[in-house]
Amino acid sequence: MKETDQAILSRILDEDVSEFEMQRLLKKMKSDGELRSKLHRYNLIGHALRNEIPELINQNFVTDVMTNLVDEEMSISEVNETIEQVESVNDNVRFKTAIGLAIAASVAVVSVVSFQNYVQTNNEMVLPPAVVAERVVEESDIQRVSSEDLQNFISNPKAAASFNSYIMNHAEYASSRVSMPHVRIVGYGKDELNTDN
Amino acid sequence: MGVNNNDKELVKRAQKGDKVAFDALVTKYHLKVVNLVMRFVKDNDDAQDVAQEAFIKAYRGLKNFRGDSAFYTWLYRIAINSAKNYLVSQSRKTPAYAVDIDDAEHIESATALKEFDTPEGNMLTSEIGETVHRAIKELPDDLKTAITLRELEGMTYDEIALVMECPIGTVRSRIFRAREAIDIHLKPLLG
Repeated sequence: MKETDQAILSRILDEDVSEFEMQRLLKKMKSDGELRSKLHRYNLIGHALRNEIPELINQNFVTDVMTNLVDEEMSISEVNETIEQVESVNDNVRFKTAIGLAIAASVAVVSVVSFQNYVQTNNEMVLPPAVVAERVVEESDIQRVSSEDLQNFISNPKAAASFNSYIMNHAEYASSRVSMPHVRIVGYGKDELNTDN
Repeated sequence: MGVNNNDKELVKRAQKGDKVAFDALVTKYHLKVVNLVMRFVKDNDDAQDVAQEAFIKAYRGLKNFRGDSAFYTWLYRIAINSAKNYLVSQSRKTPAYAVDIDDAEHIESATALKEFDTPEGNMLTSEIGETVHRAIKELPDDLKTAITLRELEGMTYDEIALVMECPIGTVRSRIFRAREAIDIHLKPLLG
């Protein structure tokens, strides 16, 4: 410990230290316990001369105070850390909830917009655009049935029943918005078929 | 440098989180605060605790300290409030020992508490007091005069320089050397 530091220490008690000297000394006191102890003893000398010494001198008074401050700050920082973690979790939950709500809102908007397309405007029913299948039906995909084949198929009771059931099921559940690219509801009349057999 | 300017600087640094600065403030004022608290609180250990509590409260409240008053004045009020709170809590337990709250603040000296002194406390206090007084008697006259004017009369360096008819730098040096000479005797006592 340089003599200069001790001299500055003495002047601290007498309000005679410049800002620069204070800064320099405080920096040294941070790591020099003896410097802090000497400040305490210099202070004690003045009190002893004035007969102002307490009954019992706690030499660890300053250390105890500073330790309590550190403990208190650690507790506060631990609490703050916990709060931050909870807030972080809450933020994640809120984020996911927000995303979910956004998706739900989008679906709701689409539904509403879609529903609004059914609303009568200008006294005319505006049908929604048909949902067209993506696959383009090629000419080769179409299997044309000859009259003879159709006649043979329909004449088979089981086949006819199955076919009728299929037609009915599709007709019942088909939406007016959706076209059935591969099915055409056909009706057949006796006069169109040769029902001799 | 003026009165309390160094305290202002220490407070400013402590407000920015400089623990060493607050450490210096505690070192500088802890004996005054303990003496003050002991005017209210009879028990030594309790007085130390109350005094510590006062400093902790001061640290917590530092950010609100605007410097309208001197730091010690502000600390003084905190210490008195802490001591009063202690008395309130103790008056419910041992009213016979409690100093009346309204009277305690007006006690100018610690004489009222002498009857509660413990032999061990007296021994330590007297040892320190004797050591310091013995050491100052052994000082050269110029050092003895300088330290006496400073510590007992409360004079500033400028005032001492005028009285002793010497430069202010000489005053600084004499006071420092006086303290250093006394500290040589005091250090072994405190360990």
